[in-house]
Formats: sequence, structure tokens, C-alpha cells
Amino acid sequence: MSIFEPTNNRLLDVSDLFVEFRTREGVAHAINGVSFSLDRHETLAILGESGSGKSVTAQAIMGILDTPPGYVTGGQVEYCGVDLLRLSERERRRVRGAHISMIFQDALSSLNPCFPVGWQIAEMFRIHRGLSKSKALEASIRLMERVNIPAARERVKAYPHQFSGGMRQRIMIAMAIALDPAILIADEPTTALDVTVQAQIMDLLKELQAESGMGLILITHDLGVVANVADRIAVMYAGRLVETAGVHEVYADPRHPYTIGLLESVPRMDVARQETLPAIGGLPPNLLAMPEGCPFNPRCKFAVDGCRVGEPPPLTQLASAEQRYAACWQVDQLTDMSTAGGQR
Amino acid sequence: MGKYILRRLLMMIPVILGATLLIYFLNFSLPGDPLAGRCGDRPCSPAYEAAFRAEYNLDQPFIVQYVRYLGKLLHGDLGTNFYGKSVAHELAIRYPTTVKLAVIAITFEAVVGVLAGILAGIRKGKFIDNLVIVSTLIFISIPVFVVGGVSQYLFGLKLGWFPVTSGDGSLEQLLLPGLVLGSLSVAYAARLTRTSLVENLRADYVRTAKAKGLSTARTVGIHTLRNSLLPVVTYIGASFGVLMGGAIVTERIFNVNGIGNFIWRSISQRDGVSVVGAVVCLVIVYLVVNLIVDILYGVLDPRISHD
Repeated sequence: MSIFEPTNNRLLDVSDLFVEFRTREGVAHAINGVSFSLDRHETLAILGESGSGKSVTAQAIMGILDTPPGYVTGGQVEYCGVDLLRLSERERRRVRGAHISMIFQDALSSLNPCFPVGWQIAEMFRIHRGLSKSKALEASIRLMERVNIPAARERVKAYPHQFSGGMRQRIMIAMAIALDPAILIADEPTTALDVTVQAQIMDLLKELQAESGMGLILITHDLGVVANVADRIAVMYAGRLVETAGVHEVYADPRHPYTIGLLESVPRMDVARQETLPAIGGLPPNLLAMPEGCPFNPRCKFAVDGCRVGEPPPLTQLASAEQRYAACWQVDQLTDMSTAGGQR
Repeated sequence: MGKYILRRLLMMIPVILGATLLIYFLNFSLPGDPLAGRCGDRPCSPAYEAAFRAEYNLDQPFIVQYVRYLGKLLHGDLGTNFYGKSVAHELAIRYPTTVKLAVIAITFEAVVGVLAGILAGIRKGKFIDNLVIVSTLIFISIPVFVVGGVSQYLFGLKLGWFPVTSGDGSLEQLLLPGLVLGSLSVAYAARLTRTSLVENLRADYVRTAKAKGLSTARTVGIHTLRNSLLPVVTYIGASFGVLMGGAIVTERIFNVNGIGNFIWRSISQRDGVSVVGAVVCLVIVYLVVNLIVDILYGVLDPRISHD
């Protein structure tokens, strides 16, 4: 597919993406002008709590939003310079799975319970490449070996429920990387797994990425997972990016009150034991009735009157650092306050 | 698998014993005397009466009657009714008609019901969906004797598309009664298919199928349908078991000479031997059909294991 030859390192350019859900209760603005990019070899972590719009962003990029109720209402999703949102459904289908693929949180429910795992992996080769049944099955066995599933040849005809959670996620990964995609979106790939298996899966993803140079978008709410694998972090809140920066910068010096709150709520071994873990008060906003001004203002301890009126703050580059962006009116005062408060 | 089938077959024994005991007891308790009116206007001679009662064990207490019946049943003998005819023979000449009727009804149910359900499910909330919901509701709420009577009058008498009643039980004569018999389960099958499909279309594995770049036809037709049809297969199988028992109302309306009609006539004639024989036969057929459905379920759904 010649039109999708990468011209440079840039794989994906999402700009000003808007998604809304038209429900009986009203229109929920799930994504409000999200922009980010992804390069080859890069791992971008999209961080946020439930309902912040991280999974919806991924589904919009893949083009697998449930429509209705979900609609992409604006923006571009450029893959190798081609805006995917302008392609026909038929053309998009050829990108899906083959160029941009995705793995999901719960591998048991994400795999079809009625078909053998080998058959499900082989489907990728049969549909996209037109391989014969036997050749596709051979290719599936090689893939299962590549994601370290023991006795792949014997297990290729087994069903998803006959595998452990970690093995099932490996099968999902095998299916997703089958056609050497340029981009892999992992939507909370380790949330349903126990901690040791989590590490194995993340190591596997890293290893596969190193081999192929694919771009990885890691959607998660687990700050621990992010710290080990991500190159860059994009923090989402109420359908907006509130902070983007390199992973070390964010951990060392968060610049948005929400990011600060998130990091404070992580249990730490290097700080004396506290009575209770700090938490961000309040609840995420109702997408049907967003607060006026900055969407985070009702929960923000740094909010001033100016935060409670007008438009939400735009994601702007910080004066102090290149490649760092935050969406906060108080961003300049914040640094002093948080260091003065001695929190970090 | 073999072990499972054997266990299921063994479990049938108490069910059959219980069913025969219950039916036999109900029959025994029915008021009326099979000898009443047997010899025309005159009462029967005491000698004949005594001989008759002895032949059919009617002079014995209930438990003796039952045990003797059971003894014969174990040898595969369903007994002889009060008219001196073998019950097994009476059933054998009627069963093919009932099976034909049941097959027509089940085909109707499986083809029309499932297709309507699929169409409604993939076009949820659209015109075709509402059409299926409303029309199935009509069939579910109207009793079968009304559907039977109306269609007999309309399609048989007025339009003349079908024979009005069934004579020798040819396929043509059984078509309309078969459709009437299947009308209720068609409605249930359509609704079940629709609900199951709509539910499965929201499943995570369907999202995966889309993310793999599969066409909508393949996503629905292969990935979703396989899972959606599991409960439908069970329902259709179970309803086949019921239909094999004959349909008393439908067979009465169209005068079909099947098991249902036979049971109805035997009950009204106090012909207990025939009733019990027919019911035992039906219970066994029902249990066997259910066993087949359960085995089939294990084949369709790899998560079900019969080991």
C-alpha cells in the first residue's frame, strides 16, 4: 500500500480532534480538541482516569467508535500524511489491523470464545493478505512462538478459555502485530493482569517495539506502568490534554494541578508513611454538564476566580521548557506554590 | 463424552418411573367406568364384566395394577387398550404424521424465526426491527386455537390455498397446521435471536473483530452470529421436544390423525392404557431430544465440556 509509506519519522499526527456522544440525555463532549503526534520507536502514554476520554481517542483513531452514539465532529488523524477521517470505510478497513492495530484490557472477553486462538490470529493473514488456511495457520504458530507462548504448535487449536490471563493477552498481542503494524495502540493492556504478569507483558511490548520500530500508544491509568516504558506522557482530563511532556519531566516536575494531584496519590517508598494517601477530592466532571471555565476548577486547590469563568485554558508551551505543554491559567504561579509547599 | 451420555441415560430412569406413576395414578383417579355403556343399552352380563375386569386388572388395588403394568412395560409391551388394540401399534401408525407436523413447524421456526431475528437485531430501532417486534407480539398474545381457526377459515375456506382438514396426512395437508403449530415458537425464536444478537454486538470480541479490519458482514455473520445463536439452538431443540409430543389443539382443529388427537380421544374415552402408553412414549422422546440438544450445545460452544 504505497500511499502509506512513511516519509519521515512521524507516524501519526492527531490534531484538534473532537468526539461527541449523542445520547438521550444530551450531547456528551467526550473529546474536545485533542492534538498529539507519534514517531517511530516512540512510546506515548495517554494517562487519565476513567471517563477522561483516553479510550475514546484510541477508538476514534482506529475508526471503531460505536456510531451512533459516538461521532467524530472535527479534527484530523493523519497517518503518514493521509487524513484517515477522510478515507472511505473500505480504505480505512485496510489500515485497521494492518497499519494501526490495537489490543484491549480484558483479553478473555476481547477474544472470540467460539473460535480457536490460531484461527483468530490466522484471520489477519487470510483477510488482509489472502493467505490460504494452512499457510495462515503456520504463520500464526510462528507468531505465537514470537510472543513466547510455550508449545505453540500444540496449542494453536485451543480456545481462549483454555489459556491463562497473561497467555491470552500474548495472543491478543500476536494478533495485533501479525501484519507488522506501524502503530500499536494498547488500551490498558495490563489492567486485568497480576503484577508479575503485567511486567512480562510490558517487557514483551518493549521487545517487539525494539525489533520493529513501531510506535506505541499506551493508554493507562497506572502511573507505575508508565514510568518504566513511556517516552512521553499526555495527561487527559475531561476530554482534553492538560499536560504533555517527556516522562522524566512529568515525574520530576509536574506542571498541571491535575498531574500534581495524580502523582501525589501514588504510594511512595521514599517518603515517610502517612496516615492516609492524598487523593484528588471530588469527582470527574459530568460530560453532559461541564463546569464553566477550566474543567478541573471544582477540584483544583490552586484555582482562582479567573479559572471559574470563560473558556477552558488552551494547551500552551511552557516558557521555561521546550517540548513541554500544559493547560492551566496558573501555570507560572504553580511552580512557586508547589515548591514552596514543599510537596516535591 | 460416552460417560456423560451414559449418566444422562441413567438419569432418565427415575424420570420415566415418576412420569408413569403420576399419569397412571391420575388415570386411576378419574371418575367413570370403562364398562359403562359398553354393552349398549343393557348392562353387561356379570360373567363378561368379571372377565373384563380380570383381564385389565381392574379388580386389583392401584399399586398391583401399576406394578403389573410396569412389568409389561419393561418388556417393551405398552399393553392393549379396552378395544383390544395394541397401544404400540396405535402409536406407530400415528407417529409419522406427528413427526411430519413437528418437522414443518420446526423448519418454519428455525428459518423464518431466526432470519427475522437477525434482520431485527442488525437493524435495531429501525422499521424492520419494529415490524418484527410488533408482529411477534401479536402471535405471542393470540391463543393457538384462534390462530388455527382463523387461518383455517381464511387460507383454507376463503382463499382455498390449503386443504381445510387433513385426511391421510400428506405433506400438503399438513403444511397449514404445521405453520399454525410453529407460529408461537417462531415469534419466540425471532425475539430470542434478536435479543441475543443485539447483546453480542456490544461484546468486546466484536470490537476486536472491527479493530482487525474485518468487514461488517464478516464481523456480524461469523464472529457475532456464532455466539448469538447458542441460546436459540437450545430453545429450538427444546421446542422440538415439545412438538414431538403432538399438538392437541392444532391436531383437533385440522383433524390431523396424530399423537395429540389420539391422546385427546383416549382421555375422553377413559382409555387409560392408551393415555399412559402414549405419555410414556412422549416422555422418552422428549428426554432423548433434550439429550441431543445438550450434546449439540457442547459442539457449538467450546466452553461447554461434557467430560
